Amino acid sequence: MIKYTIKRLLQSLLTILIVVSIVFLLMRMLPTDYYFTPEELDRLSEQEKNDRLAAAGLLDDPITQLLRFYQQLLRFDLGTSRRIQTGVPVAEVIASKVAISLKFGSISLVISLFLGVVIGILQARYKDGIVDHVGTAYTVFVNAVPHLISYSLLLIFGSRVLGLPSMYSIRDPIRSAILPIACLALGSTAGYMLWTRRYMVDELNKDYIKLAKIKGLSTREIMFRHVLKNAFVPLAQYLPSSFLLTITGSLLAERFFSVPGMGPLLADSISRYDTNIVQALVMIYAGLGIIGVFLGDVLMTIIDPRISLTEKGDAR
Amino acid sequence: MKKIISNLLICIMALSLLVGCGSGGTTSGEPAEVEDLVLYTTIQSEMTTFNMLYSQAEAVSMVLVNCIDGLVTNDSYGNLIPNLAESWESDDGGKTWTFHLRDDATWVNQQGEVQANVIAEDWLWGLEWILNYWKNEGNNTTMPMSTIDGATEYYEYTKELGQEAAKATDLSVFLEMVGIEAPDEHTLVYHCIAETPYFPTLGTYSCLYPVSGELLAQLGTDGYTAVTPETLWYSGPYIITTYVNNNEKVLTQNPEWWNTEDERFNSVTWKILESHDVAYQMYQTGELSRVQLTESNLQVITTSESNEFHDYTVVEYTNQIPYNFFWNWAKNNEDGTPDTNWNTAVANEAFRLSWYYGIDFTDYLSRYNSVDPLSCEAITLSSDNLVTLSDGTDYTSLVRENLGIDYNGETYARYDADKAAQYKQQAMEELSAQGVTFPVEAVFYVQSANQTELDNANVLKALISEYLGDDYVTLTIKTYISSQAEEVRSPSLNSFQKTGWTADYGDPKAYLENMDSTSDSARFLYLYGHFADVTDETLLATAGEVAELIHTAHAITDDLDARYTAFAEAEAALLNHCLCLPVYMNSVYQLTQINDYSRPHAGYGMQENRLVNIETNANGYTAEEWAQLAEEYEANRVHE
Repeated sequence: MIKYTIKRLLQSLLTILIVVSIVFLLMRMLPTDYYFTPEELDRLSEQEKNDRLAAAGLLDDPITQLLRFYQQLLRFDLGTSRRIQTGVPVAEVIASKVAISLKFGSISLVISLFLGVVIGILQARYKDGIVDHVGTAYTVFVNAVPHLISYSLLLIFGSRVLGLPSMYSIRDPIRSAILPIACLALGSTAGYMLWTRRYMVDELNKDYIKLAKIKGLSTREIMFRHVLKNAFVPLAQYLPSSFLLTITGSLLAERFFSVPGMGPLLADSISRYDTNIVQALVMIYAGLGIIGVFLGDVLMTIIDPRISLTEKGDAR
Repeated sequence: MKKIISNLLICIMALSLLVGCGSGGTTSGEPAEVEDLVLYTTIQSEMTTFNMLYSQAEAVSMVLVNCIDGLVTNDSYGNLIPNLAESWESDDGGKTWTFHLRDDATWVNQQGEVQANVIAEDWLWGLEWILNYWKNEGNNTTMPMSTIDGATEYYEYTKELGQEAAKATDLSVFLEMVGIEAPDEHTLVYHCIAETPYFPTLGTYSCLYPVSGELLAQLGTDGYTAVTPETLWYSGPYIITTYVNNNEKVLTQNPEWWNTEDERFNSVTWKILESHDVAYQMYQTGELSRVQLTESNLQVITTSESNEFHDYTVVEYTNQIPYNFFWNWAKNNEDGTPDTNWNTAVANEAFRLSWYYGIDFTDYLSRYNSVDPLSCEAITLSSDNLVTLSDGTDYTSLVRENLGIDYNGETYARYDADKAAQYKQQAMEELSAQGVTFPVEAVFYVQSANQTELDNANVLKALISEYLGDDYVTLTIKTYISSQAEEVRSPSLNSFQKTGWTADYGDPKAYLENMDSTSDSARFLYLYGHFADVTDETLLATAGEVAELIHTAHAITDDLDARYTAFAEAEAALLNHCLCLPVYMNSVYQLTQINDYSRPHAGYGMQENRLVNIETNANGYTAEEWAQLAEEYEANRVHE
């Protein structure tokens, strides 16, 4: 297990390094005018632009720049923001947003996981009953209607009927967080409902369940000790990723409710050519994704002893 | 299953109806003042810096103009009024300007604790920062370099110094080189290159704003570049007490503000919202003090008499920015060869005038104001409220008089079918003789991701086809991905560019110097138009004549009425030769609790966003009340 962990860790680091290097080099292939604002482009002479680019090290060959970037990384220096918050260290820009996305994301994850799994179980248990039909209709509705529409409906209902604040504000952090969290949970609840129901229905049709019934086990015992445990294994694999990726925020929900989280940051920094932030975010996102998958694998082995990370044949 | 879904849909529709019948934001009764103002900007307009000297963006100045006071400000009629300078004068006809500063202004930190007095030296540090090539990266340098003695030399000096040395500079060399001095703590003297009658108006703009030397010493150059609301020092009416990037900024009263007479809000909040549609929703629930209406929201409100806001839509009273088409005089084809056909055509005055008189842009204006399109008709290069003559006449009125255009607001004023037909015929004859083939292809670029601009361009294309004729001109719309400067302007691929512009200072020169063919800084001609590559003798002579008129006007420094009259003649000449083509002015419909007529107004600078002495009505203003406010405003207009 330790050997496997070390191997996966090294593989992960290499993957992150490759991803970051590719993104770094791609960013350096952009026209150099990204470095300047439109006003600066109009005002500065070519010589002045070149002086500025040279001072920033952007006229060096890309490999030299890449090696310098690696050195910066070893010093945990991600550089400074140039367009999002001029002159502010990238680490500060990101840190201020991570906490908020993590808070919103983890609360909505817990809510959606709880509701999704519980309702999914009930749907499977009472398949073709009223709960199953309502649950399926909800799942279809959430998946079929664009998020912007469902968010708008929830916003109108929440603000005009329930009197909740339309936008998130740190001056009213609890009430103003209700609508964005509800929206974030809206979609993922449907997802957990769908997959829990599907895996449980699959399990319920297997032979060992029939045997359990013949042996006289109670429905409750069958559902929770056998069906849920086995049905949860595929879901469990994605839980660490889901949790870790809450850090990356939600572009749509955060922008819609003005939540100052990580969601819009990548899109904003790309559109404004804030390359230092883009590089840092790509590195973080790649790292979180890789760690999430690894933790998912580990969690599966814990829940299902039949799965081994090391033995050939059973290895995933 | 179908039954369940249909029941669910019925529930949703019922909910929507219930919501639709919900209470609105307006209430009857006595109008109440707004004490806590809540404004918004869309996500694209979030502040990127708190260093006022660095940025020219409105998103930055509209907040910081409320936090840091400058030398002067504007009243609601555009008159220049004292701010931190109690008075100012020039004893030599406008070459040397002395500002007498008040002695009770202080810098405070975010907690409202006094950190230092505001003294004349703070303006020295401010200007040094602006002119230091490596500190401010050349931002906001244009005006000081073109007006203040030694400013250009100091800029070049710091450029040569190199990054590290320039960032470490103090005031010693600066004071030796640049025409600015602080004889005592409350006197500030600027020495201009030449007589500059409009120099005090520059004090409304960030290029002449102060920064505390003590704060700079505390934060260092990089620290001030990255200054935040927590580290900033404040001297204006408000302090930024809460700032969450991409969420909101809350300004509260500066307890140590020197001005005890001006009225302020208890707090001013700027929310960052995803769109104007979300803002409209928030206005309905009483969470905002003002909302800009999108075309669709405006249509919904105005077409339904039962709409709660039907009587509340009003046009924002603000500095209307005129947008012009600026010709490219030396266009290239995509393979880099000169587009001789276009270049020859645009150099022909009859060709340009056929555009000038020949297109009724009303449908194009409808794209910007569907209710009253002609209210955003642009006649001039300059904006209204830029300067006024001593009898109160607005400068642009003089230009219109000189143009002889009957501007009545009912029909598109410039359109003259007969003249247009004559010019078209003349152009076709003259250009055919020069080897131009018809139709002449004009190329117009819009950003690929901007659907609104693409739609606007398609309307323009249809108008050109309708009014000029497909036998004469065709418009090709092309797109650029991200950088118009690099992808379009630099390779010179467009036939004309649409640009709007707000002056930095109060003088017609602010606009006209950009069309002065003898000046390198004529950005409209040279940067957008590649005028340096023009060889057509007639065009050069025409531009030269206009330049001469501009110089003549600029040389008049002792009689402002005569100066403005001469500039109006120059601007009219410029337009009569159609060296640029005014198209539209921005016009915004809104629902608001803020009386725009009580706000500072000027066709230049950045004082318009200063939030003091603002009248409000918590119920929102009706169109009727708005018209009354406008009437009172005009009746009380006084110019100093």
